[in-house]
Amino acid sequence: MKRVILYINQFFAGVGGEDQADYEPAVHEGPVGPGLALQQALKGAEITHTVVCGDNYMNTNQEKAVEAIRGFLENIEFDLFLAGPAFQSGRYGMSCGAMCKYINEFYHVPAVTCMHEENPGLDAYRGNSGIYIMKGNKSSVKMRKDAGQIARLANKIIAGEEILWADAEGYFGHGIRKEVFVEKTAADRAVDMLLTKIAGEDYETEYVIETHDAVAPARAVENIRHSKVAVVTTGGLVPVGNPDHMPSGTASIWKTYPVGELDALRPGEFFSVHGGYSTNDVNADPEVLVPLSTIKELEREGAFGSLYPYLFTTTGNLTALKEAHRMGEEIAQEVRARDVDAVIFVST
Amino acid sequence: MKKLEIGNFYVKDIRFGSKTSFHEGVLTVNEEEAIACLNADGKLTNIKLYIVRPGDSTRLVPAKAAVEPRFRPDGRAVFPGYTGPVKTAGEGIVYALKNMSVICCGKYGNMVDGMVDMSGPAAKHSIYSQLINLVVYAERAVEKDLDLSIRVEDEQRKAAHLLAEYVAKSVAEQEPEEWEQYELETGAAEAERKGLPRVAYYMTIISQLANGCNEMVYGADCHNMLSMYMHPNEILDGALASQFGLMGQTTTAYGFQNNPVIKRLYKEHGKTINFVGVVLFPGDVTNDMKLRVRSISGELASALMLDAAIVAEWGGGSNVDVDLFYQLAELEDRGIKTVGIMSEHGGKMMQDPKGDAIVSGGDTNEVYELPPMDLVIGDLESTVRDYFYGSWPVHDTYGPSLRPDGSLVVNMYMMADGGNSTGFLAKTVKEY
Repeated sequence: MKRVILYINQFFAGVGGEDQADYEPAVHEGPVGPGLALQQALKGAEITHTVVCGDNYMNTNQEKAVEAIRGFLENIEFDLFLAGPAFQSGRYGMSCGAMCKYINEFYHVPAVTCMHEENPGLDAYRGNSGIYIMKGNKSSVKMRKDAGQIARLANKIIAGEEILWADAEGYFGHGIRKEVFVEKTAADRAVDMLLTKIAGEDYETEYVIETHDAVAPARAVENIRHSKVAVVTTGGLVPVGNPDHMPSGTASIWKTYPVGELDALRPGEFFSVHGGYSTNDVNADPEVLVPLSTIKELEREGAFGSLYPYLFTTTGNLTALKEAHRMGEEIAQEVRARDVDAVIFVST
Repeated sequence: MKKLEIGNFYVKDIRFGSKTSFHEGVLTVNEEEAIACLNADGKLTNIKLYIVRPGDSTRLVPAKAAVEPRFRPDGRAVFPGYTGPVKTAGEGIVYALKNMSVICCGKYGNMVDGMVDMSGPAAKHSIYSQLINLVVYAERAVEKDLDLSIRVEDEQRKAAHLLAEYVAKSVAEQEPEEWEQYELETGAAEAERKGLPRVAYYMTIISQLANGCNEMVYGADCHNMLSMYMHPNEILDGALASQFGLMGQTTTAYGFQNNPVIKRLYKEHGKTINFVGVVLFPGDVTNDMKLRVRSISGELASALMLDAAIVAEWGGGSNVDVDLFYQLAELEDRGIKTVGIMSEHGGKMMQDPKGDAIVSGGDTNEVYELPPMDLVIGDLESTVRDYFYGSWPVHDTYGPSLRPDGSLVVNMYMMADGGNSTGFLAKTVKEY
């Protein structure tokens, strides 16, 4: 028999409504409120304790609330954590999300909750892959249905069954894409989808286009004559011999190489390991990628303050977006720490 | 009327023997003769042939091409312009050895190369793991440009094409087990009578690399090519060949010869659609070239009076993403309904919401741990010594791709057509 802890707010515990929203955390043995329906639906598991907390209290005194709840759970063993369902109630959704996140990260047990798609708790916590937020209804009129959603996934976790993708299980996706095998080949699915689209019927794209964060162009550098300028390239330019084994694609590393003492980048000294374009021109003259001699000349003429003496480089080829974000942030932090005022970004 | 008839011979096994022959499903290969034929000009050295079967504990890496053996009774080259003189492809009779391919491996990885595991967890991710393969391992007599991430290197690949033609000659005097027939005219008349929608298949052509590294049309490198129309039979019949390797976002000679989208569109032709042909769209580098390709592709669509199109992307990631979405948007802007086929690579580098119907064949960025194999044909060290899209010498999270016990941690770029853009596999990508 697996052991389950349930989290609900003061309202569903029957403590009271808005007037009791500051209710401090309390723990009860066994299921309380929606826990009774949940317990009925669970197979091979027992709700041993129910933690109750007021929504206001949780949202305004989260540290204290979490500390109190940790105290309750100190000597209690459990395999699964459930919270809600929270419907469209914003504060309740945030509380359920916060508790699921805390429990999952601290105790490493999976957590399941349920809320409506407009609940702010969804965007705040859906990125955590240890939390399953089931797709729920707007109001508690649908309590039985939403509790059933939680129980359905909880039962799969309890039984040790494989948890399938978001749409198959009814949870909001974590933004994690995984390869899976299905019935039909990609070729047949494409033709089927086209026939459906031609017929004007509903079809489901397998890849939903979400517009990326638009990067707003930086403002012009105010005083370029006194600015320290760094050069960053994603063109895969490295010293010949590639001493740090810069990959030619799917790079997860960036490197810096000293160029302060050089007056130009010369063939035979620098080359590109980029695997996404023909590197012949760059290898014949690395300056077509990073025009160091021109930059040095401008520096001598006083066109800008000074050149940061290291070249930042990585291979921008098939890089996963997440890795690209991370490397971008790391490079930004590094140039900031070196008092660099402006960056020339040399792409390919 | 342009009619292609493919006579199929199903291969149950391959053996080495004294006489190259085909008898009751068994292909026997005379090694010496085969090697002499694939290395007539002496450009290769250390040549060795292997037979590998599904389920074998065998890993092919670096794998450079896969070709289905075929033979033309009328003496034309199977790959006109590449393995022989240029002659129009896509008509007449050609014999095919099914259920097998000829794969070439070398010692040094070229970045566009990939890997084929004949068993283990990677086997379901590649059509080539599911075929009986005649493998030719060879080194170039003069190895050069090994420090380049992508180099001009056609010797092994050419050898695979020649070897495929050589072994297929064994069926010359025999009667095929079955016939496939491809001909547009009859279905077109039927489709026009029924007023069925006009559909084309838009295929990426790899053109962004240096001359000698791209795909080929009738043996001509596609570098800086513009969009063009082709008859689907030409694609199925050797008009296209590739100088690209066997990485996860590639199609290769075998993929052209057996293209599953063309075959399915033919099945629908005259019944639910009017299949009017194929448009090749090159994925070039500069935005100006991409815009030229986009515009010409659009004009071709209008000239073909298309109602709908399938647009397939392969040949890399970020760069060709732009072309895929340019093609989809251009066609949708012209009122033509589109479906895209592509593989993901941890997302897409460029996308346009006009591409609202997309089939995702796989995610080449997904990382897999693969066990050691008893036999490696090629050079396992190449996975960390040479450049590959799918393996790495250093990695912040995973460490080097090759581990001391011969196991690997690689991503799906490594597996031959593992991204599934050609559409062979029943694989997709789901959000978790």
